[in-house]
Amino acid sequence: MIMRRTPTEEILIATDLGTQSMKVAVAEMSEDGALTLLGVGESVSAGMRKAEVTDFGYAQAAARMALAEAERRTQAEITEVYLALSGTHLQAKNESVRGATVAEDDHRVTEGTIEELQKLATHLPLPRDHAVLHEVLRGYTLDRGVGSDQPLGVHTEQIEAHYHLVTGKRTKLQTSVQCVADQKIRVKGCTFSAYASGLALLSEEAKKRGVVVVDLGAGVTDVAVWRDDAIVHTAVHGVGGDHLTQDLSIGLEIPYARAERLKKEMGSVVLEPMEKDEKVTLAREISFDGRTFFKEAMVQILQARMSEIWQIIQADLEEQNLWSAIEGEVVVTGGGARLKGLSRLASEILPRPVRVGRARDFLGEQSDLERPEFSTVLGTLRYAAENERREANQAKGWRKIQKSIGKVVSGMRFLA
Amino acid sequence: MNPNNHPKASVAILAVGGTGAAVLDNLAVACEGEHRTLCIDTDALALRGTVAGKKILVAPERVHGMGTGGEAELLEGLSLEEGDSLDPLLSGIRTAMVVLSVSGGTGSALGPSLVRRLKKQGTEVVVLAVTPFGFEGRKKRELSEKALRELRQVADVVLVFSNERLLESSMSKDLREGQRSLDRALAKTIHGLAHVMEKEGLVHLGVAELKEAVGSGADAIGYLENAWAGVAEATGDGREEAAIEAVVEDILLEDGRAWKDGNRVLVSVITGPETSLQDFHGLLEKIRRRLPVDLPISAGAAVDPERSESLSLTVLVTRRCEGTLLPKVEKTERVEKRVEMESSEGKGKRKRKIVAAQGELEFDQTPNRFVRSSPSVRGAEDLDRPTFQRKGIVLRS
Repeated sequence: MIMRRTPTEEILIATDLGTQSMKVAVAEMSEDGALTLLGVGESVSAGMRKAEVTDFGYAQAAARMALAEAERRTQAEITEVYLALSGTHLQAKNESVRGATVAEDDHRVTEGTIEELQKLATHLPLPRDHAVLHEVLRGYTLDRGVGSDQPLGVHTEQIEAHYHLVTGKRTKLQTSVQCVADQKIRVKGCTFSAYASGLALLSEEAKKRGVVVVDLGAGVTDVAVWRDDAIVHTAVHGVGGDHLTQDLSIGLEIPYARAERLKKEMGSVVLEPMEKDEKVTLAREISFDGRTFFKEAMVQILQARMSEIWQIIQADLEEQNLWSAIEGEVVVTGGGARLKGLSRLASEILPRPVRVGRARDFLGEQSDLERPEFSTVLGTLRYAAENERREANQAKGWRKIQKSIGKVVSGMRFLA
Repeated sequence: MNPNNHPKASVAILAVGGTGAAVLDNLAVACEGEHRTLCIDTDALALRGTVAGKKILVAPERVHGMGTGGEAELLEGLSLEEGDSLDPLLSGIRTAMVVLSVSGGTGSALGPSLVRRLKKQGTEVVVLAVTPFGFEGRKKRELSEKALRELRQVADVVLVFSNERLLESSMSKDLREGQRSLDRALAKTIHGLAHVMEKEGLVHLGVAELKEAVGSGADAIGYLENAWAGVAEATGDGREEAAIEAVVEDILLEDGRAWKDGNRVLVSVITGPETSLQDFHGLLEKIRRRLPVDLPISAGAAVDPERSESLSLTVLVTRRCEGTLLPKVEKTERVEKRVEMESSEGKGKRKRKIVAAQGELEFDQTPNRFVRSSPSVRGAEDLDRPTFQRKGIVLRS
């Protein structure tokens, strides 16, 4: 259950089952919606590949450790969480449903009209074996193509609601949820990782101008495009930091674990002129004889893979005709954002400026905001806050769709 | 009439090796002996157990009828291109569908030379190749790629089905049952295509249409899967809708990868004599509407007088490859050392040639990090393979 520290504060808990690490973030939400970060519990991930559970027992054990660490750090008892999910099985597309107002209401948009549209949206066709992970309301179109975020009370004969629908293979979504639910913890809601990262990093202004969020995770790379304060495109590309590490392991002929350390300690996608003839020596360890190689070789390997990832993202958005619609920049986050020279390389390939993002608008524990790998779990806290506020408003009888809350329609259909 | 005794049966199904034989046996069950079949293998016991119309044991002097056990090098230098014994069995075949596994066994070793022989006599050749699991290692993968490269140089069409999908689909719970399911699926696909190619009917579907769907051999890349198929039969009222639903849910299409990676659809229909051309076009429209993605469709239909009020539907989703062959990865050469040894009695030096020590053997490049996860494929590129390898980047050393 959501605990109350004080009569005006609630505790929110978010979980990110990452491929490299599992994170559990705990925050307090005040009555005005401000979030105070209490702490993030983290554990090394296991049983996960490309953001999907491949070994349930290991994944569950890792999730348990992260939850325990979060409880220890924050003294919060965790019985209910919001979960961020990703994976290459996720598919996203923009859908619309059309409705009409009635003459008896003088052709005004009523709550009944909105509910009718929401009901229609639940009947949108899904790929086989898929369930809805997330329906994000993008806006409405009224008569004569007029757009609207707040159509309640407006006169119009026709109204169309536009959604960004993210679906995933039902069994894979359920497996991820069970990792947490089997531990007697209720999963109250789920969100899509790319969407969550955007919530953590972006200002309202950035979302209006148009911005691309790229979350370079260990298993996959999540991409979300925002425009006009709504999400217009999301994608999951099945390459991530693990591919960088494996490329190093194969190219330099070193064990995988040693390659991972090398990448974290001195990984770079650019070679400075003075590093041209520099050599790197890896010391001998148990079952590894050590190796010496040119730094240039390491950079060649990482640069090839990262260039390819940027090219994939560039081509994907080009195909969707989105670059011309975005005035803003590309914001990079996730563990992969730590790679030296990343922004410089990306700027050569993508048609927009690139910067590494930082989570914003959290009070409390600030050091955790500096870690790009926490963007998803922090954004999930923000999603949780929006959800809790919407439910509280509905409980109080507030029927008007608030802009910040109304953008998200409860989309946990597969949990129903 | 037994088609194996009919010298003019224009479409023949040829199996090379154990996997091919298993598919042939399933084919016999699926189509009740309708097709002309031939099995070529090095394993006498397996050959005896298969129900293929004609059977040929090869390389008895090398492997003594015990098969290769996946060691294709046992058959090195052996070719099916020459020799008279196969002439009476291969003559008169207009179109050959050759089914084999390219996992480093008999199929890999003898498949290419069989295809060359068939091409020499003017036969059109469609190869259905099954690739090994990722965990079978780098060596198998390289043998597989080599065999596929050779096959693509000579065959008209090469359809590649991956064993790897058994690990992640509904077949993964019991691998043996999964293997049988894949064999059955391949058999039904072959039947669906061969029947339409052989019989006269409403709309022609031949090797040219398959070639258009897959691309010519040398254009294909690596050993990526390029074909997925669903096969179903239905009778009575509503048979079209029932067959279409069953096909889309069929085992090779159920994981959705076909719709993500495929860019062409081939439809083969066997129907009763009551079906008109208009009905056929109506069926195609229903299929087009039902498919999860909008892809160009080629189709063929044959009429079977004995199939009144029934419908057999084969949907083959293919990926047409546009890229070029990858450069070969440079391999470390095995070092041979000459060791001088003195006997303990000081009888003189003996020179012994030995294979390199463990530390100098080639580094195992098996991408086992991702072997149990969904493959990351973009177009025809296997993104789980290192980028620097795929792009042919030579690392500074």
